[in-house]
Amino acid sequence: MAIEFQEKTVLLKGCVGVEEAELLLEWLQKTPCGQVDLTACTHLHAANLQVLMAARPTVLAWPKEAALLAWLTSSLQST
Amino acid sequence: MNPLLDQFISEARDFQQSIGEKLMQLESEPGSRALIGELFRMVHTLKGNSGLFEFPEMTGVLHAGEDVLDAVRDGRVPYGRALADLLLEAMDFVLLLLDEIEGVGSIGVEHVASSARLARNLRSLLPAGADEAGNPVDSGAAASVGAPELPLASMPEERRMEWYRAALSGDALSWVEYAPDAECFFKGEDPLYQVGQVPGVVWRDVSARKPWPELAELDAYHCQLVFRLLSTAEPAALHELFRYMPHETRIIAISPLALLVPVGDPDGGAVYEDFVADAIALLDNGDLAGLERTTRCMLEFSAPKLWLASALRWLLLILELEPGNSLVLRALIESLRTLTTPCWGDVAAGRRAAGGDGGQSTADGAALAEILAAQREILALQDDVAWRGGRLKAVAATLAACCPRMGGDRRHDALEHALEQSLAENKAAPLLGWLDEYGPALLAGFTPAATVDARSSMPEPVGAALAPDMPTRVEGPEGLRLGRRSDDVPGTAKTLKVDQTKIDRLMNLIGEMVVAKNSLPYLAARAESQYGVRDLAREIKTQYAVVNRIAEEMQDAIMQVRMMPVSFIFQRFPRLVRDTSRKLGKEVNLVLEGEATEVDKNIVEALADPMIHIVRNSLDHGIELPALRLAAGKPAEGKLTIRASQAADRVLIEIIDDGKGIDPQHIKKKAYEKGVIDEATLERITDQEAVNLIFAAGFSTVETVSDLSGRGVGMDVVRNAMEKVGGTVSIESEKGKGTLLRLSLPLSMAVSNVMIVESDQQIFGVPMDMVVETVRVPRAAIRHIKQHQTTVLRGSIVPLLSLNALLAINQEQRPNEDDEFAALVIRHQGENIGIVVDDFRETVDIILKPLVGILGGLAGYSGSALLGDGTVLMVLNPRELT
Repeated sequence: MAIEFQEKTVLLKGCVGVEEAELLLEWLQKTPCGQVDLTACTHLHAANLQVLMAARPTVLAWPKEAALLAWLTSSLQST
Repeated sequence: MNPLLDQFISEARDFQQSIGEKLMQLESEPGSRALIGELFRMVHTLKGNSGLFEFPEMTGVLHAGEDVLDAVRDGRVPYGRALADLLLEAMDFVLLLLDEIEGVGSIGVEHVASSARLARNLRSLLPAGADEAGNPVDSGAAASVGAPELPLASMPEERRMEWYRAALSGDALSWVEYAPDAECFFKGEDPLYQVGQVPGVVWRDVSARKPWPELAELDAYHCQLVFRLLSTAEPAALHELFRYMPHETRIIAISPLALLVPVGDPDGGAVYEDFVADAIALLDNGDLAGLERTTRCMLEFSAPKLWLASALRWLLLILELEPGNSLVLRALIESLRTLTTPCWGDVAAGRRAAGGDGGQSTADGAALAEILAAQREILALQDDVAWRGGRLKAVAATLAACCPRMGGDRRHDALEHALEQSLAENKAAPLLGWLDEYGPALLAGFTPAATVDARSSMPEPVGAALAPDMPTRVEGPEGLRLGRRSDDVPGTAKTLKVDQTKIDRLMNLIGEMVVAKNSLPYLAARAESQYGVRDLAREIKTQYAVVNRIAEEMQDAIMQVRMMPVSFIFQRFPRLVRDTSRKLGKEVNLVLEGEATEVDKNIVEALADPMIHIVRNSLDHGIELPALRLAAGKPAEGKLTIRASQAADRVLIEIIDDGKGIDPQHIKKKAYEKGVIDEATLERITDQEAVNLIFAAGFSTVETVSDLSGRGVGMDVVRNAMEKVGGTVSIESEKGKGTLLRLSLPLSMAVSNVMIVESDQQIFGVPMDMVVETVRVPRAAIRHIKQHQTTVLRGSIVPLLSLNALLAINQEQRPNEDDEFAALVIRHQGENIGIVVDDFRETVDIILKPLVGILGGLAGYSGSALLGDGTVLMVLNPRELT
């Protein structure tokens, strides 16, 4: 499973596909102060990115993958 | 190139041409609904076909054309000249793409922009709101192409300085804005992955198209993202990457000057008039070192956050990188007076006009001169054609596009006036007049003398500085090439459609040639025997060898023309099998193999009906119902394989099913009941012979007659049809496992090899493929069994039949001096039969002509042929004789 929900944190791992966006959105809706751990994430489908951008959860750890990191920081870190 | 693509290209060319013709016809009868309908269908088909391949540019344009024609058909949009012009242009574009596909196998990425523009132009004819496909981004992009507002100033100054450096060292810099379609997630697209593919990204940003809604209302699968990035990749590479989403993407080449935007707090307090005056003086004197000193000094006194400080930093960078670029330096210094960013468009244009890049300017000048000369040539055309108006407009558009290079609204007005006048009078003269008046001035603009005037009147805000990629491309030489009407280019069709009668005539002629050629050996023989000139005879034989070789090659070449792939008949089977199996409630998987095997057209045609018959039989009698199959331990879905292959000079067609096979006992019983065989035969025949009984006339095993088969006109018809074209049919079947039917046919029937035999002082031909051997049988070796003559050949009994008896010639066969009879052993239905003739002669290649007219009804002969010495040879059909 590319997505793993813990009590306060969601772990995104490997290649997170388009189906996961729905789950992610549901979880973020239920867990308003949820946090995201992207350490092991290698690629994120744009739908997930959209959810993250709209929800703006706290990002505990950024991905190691350089290309993905660049896109995520520019979209999630700016104001 | 694969055959499918080949076919597409040749078809597309036909379509392209007929669409052009229809458009021309519409010019003369604009109201014709039939024509519009036909036009729509053709564009629709062409679009559909192009969709089979990866030609998004072609499909895009055709799709737009289809939409417009659909609207015209429904009366939502009136048909007019403008529309016709656009459609013709689109067709020319399609032709251009076709040429390219044929040449290099794919479409170059540089056509993306033209394709998008053509599609946009076509769509713009649609009434507002009718274009559901157009998303907001599309129109947005169209509107802002003229003046792209890029948020470059908001990027960090250091980064911009870095890029500026890179740009001066030759790196391209492009702005990409990609707003994926809202429904794109449902099309399986991943925009983030897409942008991840972009090489050389130096700056990126993702934002939402509109503010994000409350999280509870967010639709995760409604894409709202807008990606923006700066890339140092070549624009061509970017276009390639985004070629499938031209409507959602904006790619703009950024000139380095666009980066040069000082930012900061303009409230510097004092006005820096003194510094500006000093700096300009230093610049005028060429004291760049002094200028740098003064600037550094000034920078130290200014707070780094000030607009002034930013501008000074840029000034230093320019001094470092391009100290010779005084225009930019001057503009930058002067901007300190107003504390606003200089208008780089003016500066860049000024630089070009000033001949800053001498080489390019001359090249542009030469190109412009060429363009103007071409327009003059077009205007000078004297022909009075229906589309003259369109041509005048096209010329005016080209001239107008040339104008901005040198600016001047006056010229524009004059041009428009000239165009109106030209259209009204339907004469080229006013436009020619304009060209005479302003043309030289346009060209003169490229000499340094025009510098001052040009700089002051330069109305080119974005054209140069932020040259948007698309418009320049379209109006450039590319556009010019597009503007050509297809009839200007000599046709390059590589396939010919030829009436079959012409090919048949060729066949006949080569046939006569073969006959004429065959007379040379007779001539040689006569030269030797009758006139005794052996040398001449030898020479004639040498010449004969040459003519023979050429004639054979020619025959082969013509044969090739007549060859057709068997896919011509195979293609109807998927549908036939589907329909039939549906009707019978059976499940059948059809496998076609060797569709590319080529055979003569006549053979292909002769094959069609028998094959349909066989396939139907297989479905009806062979393959069982799913339940029965499962009970027999077979998969519910039956398998029907149709395979074509070539073996030497014959083509083999096998029809294999894995159905219930043929039960020999059942066949025997049925055959006996129907009186096809007698009781003695019933006891004697082998299983294989029993299976072969299905070829017997009037044989059917099915109790009830269905609408598919079972009327008893079955396999015997198939066999007769096969034999008519020199083919054979055989069957192998195993009860419970399935049946294999094998058809064997000659590749071509044009030339037959026959053996000439003599009987009762006449000659007859016998097809060589039937002859097994020729033997001399001593009279003593012939035995009589009842009324029949037989002999023993290599341990097996061979019945002997006299040809004279078969042909009802009342003569005994003549033996040779040794009292031996000449027996021609032929194979007939799996058995050897000896036909006794008087003598054997040579074998010859002949063109077999079927018997026509009254003779056509004559059994026993398959046709006639002319021999080299002019005699007519009757060719026997031993199957019908025996």
